[in-house]
Formats: sequence, C-alpha cells, structure tokens
Amino acid sequence: VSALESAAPLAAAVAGGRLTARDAAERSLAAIAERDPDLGAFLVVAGARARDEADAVDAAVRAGRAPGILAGVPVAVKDNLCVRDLPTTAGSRILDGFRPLYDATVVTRLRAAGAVLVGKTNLDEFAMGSSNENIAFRVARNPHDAARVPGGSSGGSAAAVAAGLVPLALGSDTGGSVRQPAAFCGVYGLKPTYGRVSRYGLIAFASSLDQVGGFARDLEGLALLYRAIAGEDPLDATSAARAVDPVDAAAGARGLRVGVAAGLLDRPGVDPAIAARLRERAAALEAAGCVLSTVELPDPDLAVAAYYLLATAEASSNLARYDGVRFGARLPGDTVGAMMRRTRTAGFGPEVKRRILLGTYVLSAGYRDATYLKAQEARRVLARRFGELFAAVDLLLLPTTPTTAFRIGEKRDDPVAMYLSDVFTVYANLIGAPALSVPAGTDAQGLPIGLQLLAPSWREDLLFRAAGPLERAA
Amino acid sequence: LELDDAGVEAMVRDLGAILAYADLLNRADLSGPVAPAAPGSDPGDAASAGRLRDDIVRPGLPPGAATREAPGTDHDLFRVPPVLGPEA
Repeated sequence: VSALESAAPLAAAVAGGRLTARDAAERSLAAIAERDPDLGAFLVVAGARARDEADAVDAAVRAGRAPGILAGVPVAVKDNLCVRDLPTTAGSRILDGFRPLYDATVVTRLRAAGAVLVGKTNLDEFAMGSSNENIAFRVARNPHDAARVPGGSSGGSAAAVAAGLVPLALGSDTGGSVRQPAAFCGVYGLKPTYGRVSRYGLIAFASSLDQVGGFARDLEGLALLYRAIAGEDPLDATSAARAVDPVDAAAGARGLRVGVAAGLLDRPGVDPAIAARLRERAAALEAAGCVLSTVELPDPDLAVAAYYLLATAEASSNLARYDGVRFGARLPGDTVGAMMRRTRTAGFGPEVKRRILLGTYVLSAGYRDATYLKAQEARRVLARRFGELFAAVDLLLLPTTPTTAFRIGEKRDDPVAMYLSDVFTVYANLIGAPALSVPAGTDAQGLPIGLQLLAPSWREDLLFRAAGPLERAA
Repeated sequence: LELDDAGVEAMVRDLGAILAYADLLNRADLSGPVAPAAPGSDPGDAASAGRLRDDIVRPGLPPGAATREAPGTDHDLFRVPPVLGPEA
C-alpha cells in the first residue's frame, strides 16, 4: 500500500519522523496535477496553503510536540464545507467567487488532528444529485471507468480517494451522498448518526437529514477520520452532547446479530451481481461468528417518496438565503425584486430549481397535507419499524445501491430513475441512524460493488466491528 | 425563479412524474403509534440534552468583515437596488 492510499501508516510515519508532512503533501499535489485534469474530482486545489500546513506539522514533529492522529495526512473536503478564504461554491454559480469568513468545525478539527487540506472536491450543485452531473463547473468521472459517473453528490471526494489522490476525504450525506459514491468508486463511506458530527460550516441542503461523513480506502483510516471529526460542537445546536464511543474494526464481530435484508435483493432493478455478492459476504460474517437472520425492511419506495418531499421542502427554505444581497453572485435589476429573480434564475441549475419548486409546492396551502405531512408520517412509521427491527438484531446488512456506477448521461433526463439510485440509502437519513458502505469487490465489468451496514443511532462502533470481517473478505 | 415557456413545460412534466411517484404515500398504511421524526428533534430525547447554549454574548463579525462577500456595499452596509420601482 502506497503512502497516499492508507492514512494510518502515513500518519504514523509522519509522527515518527520517517516521512515529512511536506513530502506527503507534495505527493498528493503531484498526483492531483497528473490525474485530476481527466478525473474532475477537485474544484479547488490549495497547493500553497497545503505546503504551509504541512510545514507546520513537520515543525511540531521536530519540536517534539504531538502532531495529531492524522499527522501529515493529505485530505480533501467537499466544496459545500466552508474553508476560510478558500473559494466555496457548493458547485453552484450562485456562490461563484464566495470566500467564507470562517472554517467549518470539521475543517478546524481536521487541522487540529494534523491533517493537511489539499483541496475542495466536486459535487452535485448544493449536494443535490446522485451522479455529479448537476454541475456548474466541471464533470467528475469514475476512476474505474471514465465513461461512468462517480456517484453523488460527494462524487469528487469518492473519486479522489479511489484514485489515490488523497487517503481521506470528507463529504456530506443527506440521502446517500457519501455512501452511494463510495459504493460506485470502491471505497469506504461513512454517514455518522445525525447529531454526531458538527454541521457548523456545512452549506445546508435539508437540515433534518444532512450529516457530514467521510471516505477512506481502509477501515483503520476511516476510524481515524471519524475520531477526528466526531463529537459535540457548541456552534451546532443539533450536535449531541454525548461521549463518542471508540470504533475499532479489529474488535471482532463474534456474537453480533446481523439482519440480512434479503427481500430487497429480489426487487426489480437490483443487479443480480450485487445480490449474489451480498449473500456471499453475509456468509463471511457468519464465518466470523455473527448470528444471521433474514429481516423484512419497510417498503423502500415509501422511504424514497418521503425523502424527496421532506428534503425538497427543507431545501426550498434553506436556499432562500441566496438572493444576491450578502454574498455570492448578483445580477443587476432595477428593483431589489428584479435583482433577486434574475440572480436566482441565472445562479441555480435545473435540478436545484426543480427541487426548490417541488419543495415550495409541497409546503403550500392545499397541497401540504397530501404531501409534506404524509411524508412526515411516513418518516415516523419508518422510525418505529426500524426501532422494532433493532430490538431483534444489532445491525442490518443491505446493498448500498441497486446497481453499479451508471454511464454519464444515462439517467440525466429522468429524475425519478435518478432518485431511485438512493433507494437503499435514504433509510439511514430518515431515521437518523449511522450507516457504512463497505467495498465488496467488483462485478464482471470491473465496476465496484458496495454493501451497506446500518446500525441504531450512536452505534458507529457496531458498524466498524461488523465491517472488519467484510474488509478481510475483500 | 423565472421560467420561460419551455422551462415551464419541462418543470410540469418532471414535477408531475415525481409527485405521481410520491402519491404512494397516500396509498400506504401509515397508522400506528409515532416515534420522533429524527434524533434530536424531540425535546425529551436524551441525546439532545444540553443542546441549548448558555445565553452568553459572544463577539460576532465586525461590520466590515460581514459585508466583505457582498456584491454591493456602501460604508459597511449591504447595498441593494430600490425596493420600490416599476418592477417591484
């Protein structure tokens, strides 16, 4: 494993003085310069800043100070996370030129842990999308097949880690936006429990669903990333005042009760190769001492329908702030109303407009009861049913996605088909639970397959324990 | 948002398809006792304990910094076109 692929040995080498953070940063920046023109994973590369940060880590090591658990590890963050004075666009023209006045808490924590920020990654506009095709700036491609999408919305972060440009990256997951691209690109993708990781400085999409998550090429690296970012933040009122339990993939899976969502595998549109791989890896869990049972999950169509009504309703309200007054782009107008209309019409792309209009519709008088309130009821029913499931099993095993990475353009003109690529990931967001996409080899075409573990809220430790045998099986 | 005729047509088609799909919520059985919609959203949720900060005044952004990113400013104030006018 090269130093850029695995965070834990890299951090140990930097902390032990066997590798400088500056060397690690230079390798990452050189890999980005070589590969990213074709890959499109980055929107901003912050070379000078990365070199300064790396030199500070090296100075700490030389001075005998503890350099942090991610000492010298090059990281990338999705471009909907604010980094002070670096362009932060959320992939939207309406934020073209915007430079935040402050760092997101997760960025502050990464730096405190010794990580070196090398750049900001590509995404669907305002994290709305499943393919990284809703873009204002540049196409992102899947490192396994350049004709295919990396997934979305955190497609750039997944592609950057999969291509070995950085060992770790941050994304955000509102309906699967970390786990789905992780599955498509063949890396680990963690969505922590709602409230576990601060969202201060995350550009809001749907506030009852959004969570910051991370990507890594191995569980050891992912555990370090999680440790660095998890925990209460006084700057985020939704962050929980709870101790963060240690996570350790080597802790052993013996005795864990795993519910296998076998019924989902027979659903139309589920790739048989993914179904077969899930059954195979379930057997690996059993061999590791897990106790398997078959469970019936609530109707995934119900979850997707509820998700898209709730997420768009919240988005229509969150995106009202982009009006050309306080930050971002502005188009001129004779009156403030005309200025705002022109700015928003030109600044938002088609998918964002679709979601704002849908969300405004579902919140409007006369339609609210049959749409938004029904979706809230469905969310409560889902929470209750998952609560019942988690009384009988410790965690659930299901596919991350129904298919492997699709072709660029394949689903662009069919929003419902695109939304259904999130069919197995929205559960976790609706119930607030943590979930992890684990790479599970490839299909006959060499495209990565991802399997998903879903645990009760605050039990990220169970995800890592169960993922251990799956990592060894891969 | 402004949409031209073609934009309206496309939006009607897309939103219609999404809402037709979502109509399954109205056919589903959603009865039964309810659980909180999301962790942290229920004031009784133990996880949320302490989520209200102490009411202490903290320094905010100075006006000059707060307007730094604004597309139009005037003496540390946000400047916008007239509120009233022919199009208002």
